[in-house]
Amino acid sequence: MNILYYDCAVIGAGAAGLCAGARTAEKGLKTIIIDRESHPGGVLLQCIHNGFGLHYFKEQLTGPEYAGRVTANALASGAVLMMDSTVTEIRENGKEKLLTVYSGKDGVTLIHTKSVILAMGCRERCRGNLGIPGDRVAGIYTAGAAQKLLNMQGVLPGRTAVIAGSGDIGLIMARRLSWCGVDVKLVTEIMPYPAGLSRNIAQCLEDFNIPLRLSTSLTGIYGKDRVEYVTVAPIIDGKADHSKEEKIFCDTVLFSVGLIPENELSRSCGIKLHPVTNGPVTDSNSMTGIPGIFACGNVLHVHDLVDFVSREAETAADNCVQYIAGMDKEETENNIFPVSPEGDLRYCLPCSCKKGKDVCFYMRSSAVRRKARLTVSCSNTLLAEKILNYVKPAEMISLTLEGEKLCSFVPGSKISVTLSPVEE
Amino acid sequence: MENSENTVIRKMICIMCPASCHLEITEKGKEGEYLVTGNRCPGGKNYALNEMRDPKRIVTAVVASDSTKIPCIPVKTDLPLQMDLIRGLLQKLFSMKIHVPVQCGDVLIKNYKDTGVSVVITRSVEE
Repeated sequence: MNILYYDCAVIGAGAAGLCAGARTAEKGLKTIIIDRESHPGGVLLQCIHNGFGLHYFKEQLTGPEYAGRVTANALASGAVLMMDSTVTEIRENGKEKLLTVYSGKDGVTLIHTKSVILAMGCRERCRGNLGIPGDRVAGIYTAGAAQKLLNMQGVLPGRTAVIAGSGDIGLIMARRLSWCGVDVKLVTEIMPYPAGLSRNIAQCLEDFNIPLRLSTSLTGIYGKDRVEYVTVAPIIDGKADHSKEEKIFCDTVLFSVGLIPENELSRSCGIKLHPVTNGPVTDSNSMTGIPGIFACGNVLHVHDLVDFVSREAETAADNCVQYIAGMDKEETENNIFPVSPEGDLRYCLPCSCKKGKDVCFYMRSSAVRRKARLTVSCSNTLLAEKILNYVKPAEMISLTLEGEKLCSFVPGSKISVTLSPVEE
Repeated sequence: MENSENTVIRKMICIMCPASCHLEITEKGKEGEYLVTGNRCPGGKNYALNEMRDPKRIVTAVVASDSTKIPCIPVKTDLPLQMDLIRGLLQKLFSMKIHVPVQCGDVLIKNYKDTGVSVVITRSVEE
């Protein structure tokens, strides 16, 4: 068995892991980034479309270009990349952590590390998660699986497709399939509003005259050996109305129905997970409930933009560097302010913040609003405010609060982050 | 500048960045002159005017390669291409084969059909 010693072990070499690892290595931590795939970049490698990096690199890049840049940065920083390797366990061992890593090439490796950054990303929900009835036939994919087949292997998943769910990957795949000659007949969405970014509705559906049916459920998938048709029905009073069911003939079904942070490892080492985001509960130091274990990117909460993932990863890395330097040692529990999402907010991260430390809150709305007011307050005092246009659940909201604004408050006081509609 | 009496002739969502601004276009005086509102940056105005006159899109695709490890190499147009030329370009890309090694940024097709638009490789592949 190989034994390695590091200051920081990053799990996952996607955008979050590469950006976090590059930063910790730059700041002098001996860093290893571990990933089960053969090539670094994560899901970016299969996202061949453009639109990435406008905030982070100040230009429009494709997924592989973004992956190429963050990989180059990680390598230049001196971080070690350990590919084709799966972390199977994280254990606490006094102040350090022990990682068990398995790879076909090296067998089992034990990594002793002072800190861990979780950057495992997320998984797609699939037909099984939704419990869609019908036949078990070929031709049913998650949108990301179809994207990988088409963009990485060059395999066309079918000839006529129906896409269930209006998540961004599904929308991007609608365009991609149309450009490859596939007839995309319909995109269905159970909610009354689309799940993906508005720009993707415009450039991926409207450009190709692909109909999007809102408040519509895919009620069944049928065929012998291969998908032959699906049934769809409108949702009335929260339930699919089967009397209005309609058959749509197709040989392929793609699911784009949401993503779930991949936290098997986190759960097995006892990290507390957030009931709404399904990612770890973190404080304003990006730290999970276990000291020395940090989280960033889609493993923490699902993002719509990789730029925010990179930014969040760098923040986590900075916090990790500070943790190791022991700068926060004298800090005690009583400097902590719990954060509570209120009004229209579905969630708000981090779950707590500290006096004197700037914090960037990331949150999502549970409602569609033409105009809304976002406020941060403590003991009925307004600390920050922002007016937002076109608020929707699909688009993440962020707001930075200067740490010094908390200086006059008693630690332990609740910080309310509230989103409320503005009447026009 | 603002003239509320003019009727909005088209609404569109800007695709230039994820902000997805909701744009409204009104006709200004004579035909072919437009007023754009709802954009939060100059890019939105340019996008709307291009959409009204000559819509273009960045095209991305994968091209087969002779690499032993990466069977498909991603490519993109370096500039937006007229929408009616996209099908033809894709047909051409589907029939090509890239010989590795290639670097991200290498030009695969230069100045496609004299449009000034080139196709470039977006992933470095060594072998």
